[in-house]
Amino acid sequence: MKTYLWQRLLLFVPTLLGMTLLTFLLGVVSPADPAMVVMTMDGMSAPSAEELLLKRHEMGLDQSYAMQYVSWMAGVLHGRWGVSFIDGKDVLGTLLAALPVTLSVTSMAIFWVIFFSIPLGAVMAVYYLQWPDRLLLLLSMALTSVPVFWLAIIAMQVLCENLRIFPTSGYGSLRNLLLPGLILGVGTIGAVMRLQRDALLAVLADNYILTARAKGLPFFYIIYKHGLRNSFITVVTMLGNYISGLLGGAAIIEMIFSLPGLGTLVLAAVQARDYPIIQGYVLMVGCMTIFVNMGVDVLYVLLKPQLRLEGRRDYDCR
Amino acid sequence: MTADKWLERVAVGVWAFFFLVAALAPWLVPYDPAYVDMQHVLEFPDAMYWLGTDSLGRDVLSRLIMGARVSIGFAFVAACCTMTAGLFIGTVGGWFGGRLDAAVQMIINVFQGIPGFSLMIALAGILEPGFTSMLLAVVLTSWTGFARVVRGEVLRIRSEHFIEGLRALGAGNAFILQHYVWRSLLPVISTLFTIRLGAVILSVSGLSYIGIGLQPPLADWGLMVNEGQTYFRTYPLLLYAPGSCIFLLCMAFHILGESLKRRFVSAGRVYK
Repeated sequence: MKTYLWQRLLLFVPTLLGMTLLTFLLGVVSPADPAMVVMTMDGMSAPSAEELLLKRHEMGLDQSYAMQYVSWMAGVLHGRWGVSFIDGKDVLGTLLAALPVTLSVTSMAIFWVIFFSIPLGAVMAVYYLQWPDRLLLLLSMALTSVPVFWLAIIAMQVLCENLRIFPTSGYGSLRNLLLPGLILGVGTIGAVMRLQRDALLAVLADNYILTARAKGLPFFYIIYKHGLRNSFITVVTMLGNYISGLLGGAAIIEMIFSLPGLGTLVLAAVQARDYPIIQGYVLMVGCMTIFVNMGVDVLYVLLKPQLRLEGRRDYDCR
Repeated sequence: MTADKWLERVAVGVWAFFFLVAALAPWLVPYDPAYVDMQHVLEFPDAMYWLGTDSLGRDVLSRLIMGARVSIGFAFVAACCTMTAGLFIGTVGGWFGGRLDAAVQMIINVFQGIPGFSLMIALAGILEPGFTSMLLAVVLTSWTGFARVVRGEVLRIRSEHFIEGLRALGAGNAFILQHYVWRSLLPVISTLFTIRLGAVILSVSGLSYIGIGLQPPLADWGLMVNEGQTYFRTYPLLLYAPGSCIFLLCMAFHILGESLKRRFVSAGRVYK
């Protein structure tokens, strides 16, 4: 089991390398010359061509891209993620300060996803092809098709301003996160409902369910004890695939609900052409996604050791 | 199954309606969608402006119609590019196998680990926001979905006996791929294509909403939601009209994709 786990984790090495390479390339294609930016940061000096050349040499910008990548990578590993073009602050520090907000919104979204999708998916499977199933199927498609930014504005108006159920904005307490988390999770709720339905249907088709029913166990006991528990493994491990979508989508939600997270930070950086922050954002979200997927892989092995030799369930087509 | 059929027909109807509107947009618009008329700012719907005007006095209906053209047009281009990339890479991996396949699989894995929407934001932010950077962002983040499915299908078809027969008859790679492999991929591809269209419209409208997608004065639906949100308490149509267009169209694509999927599964073809 241990060797298998290591093998699985080793598979993430090329993914991590590829992700860092892509992030590095983002910096290469960005139209700004870092040497120029550093030298004109005080807003007063206009460097001569020689000074610029010297600075470029000093910063290693005259080396080949491969060399630059290696030294950039070494810097990233040592926590030197560059400095912001705008305020000259350390990128990693700025990102880490915003990270908890994004993480809490995303966690809240995941909470809502589990809270709604598992029971709704179970209802769909139990009433397979009957009207509750059809209705919920339609609902799940609606949830995955609705533009979240639009829904967020309407929800804010109706639930926060008219009905005063949730606070409109602010960050600090759990109450502030309830609505943003829910809106962020809406698309994923729709998708995971379907997953849960299919997973439970697959389990319910198994022979041991037939045995349990033949033994005369109550139907809902079977659903809960045998069905839900077994389908849960599939669904939880599939959740990892949605993390990256949630982390990315959090940007829009944070902006609308004015939460000071990574998304708000990167959108401001986009407006200000603050490339190091954008680059750092991709690196951070990318790493988080990969680490979550690693965690999910480990979880999968721990939850279902008999599947140790098969590969992880293929990603669904999105 | 009658309810499904009914739903499917409605979806096809919605799709056809939007498609026609998009195709005929330049002849359908009652006014120039970009024409700023400060004499008629924020008007409620009347006989002259069927859906009212926005904060710059532009006709909302005209902007919606042009928005359909922009959204659907972009989604088609993006989905075609994504499909081509996915089809090519997936076929290379699945058909030739060996080291090439291992490399393809590794690249797919790398790209799959990349958070799509975040990369879209970054690309739009680092390149100039606009059509090209959006296209690049969408294709870069979504070709893996096609490539993976195509690879799997090609791998499956490759081991079938009739391929061996074709080879014995002297058919070359290009001939078999063109006449047999790609043709049998059609159902899978068309399903993925339909779903992808909806997904592209959704993510592009999101990017346009936050101001880094398609740029004004283009009349994009996401952009219209953004412009309308300031005034929507008094002029709710400015928000509801473009938003519900996005919603309806995406939903139609979704339902169509699902019914295509179901049709091909019940026709005995393996979908996944």
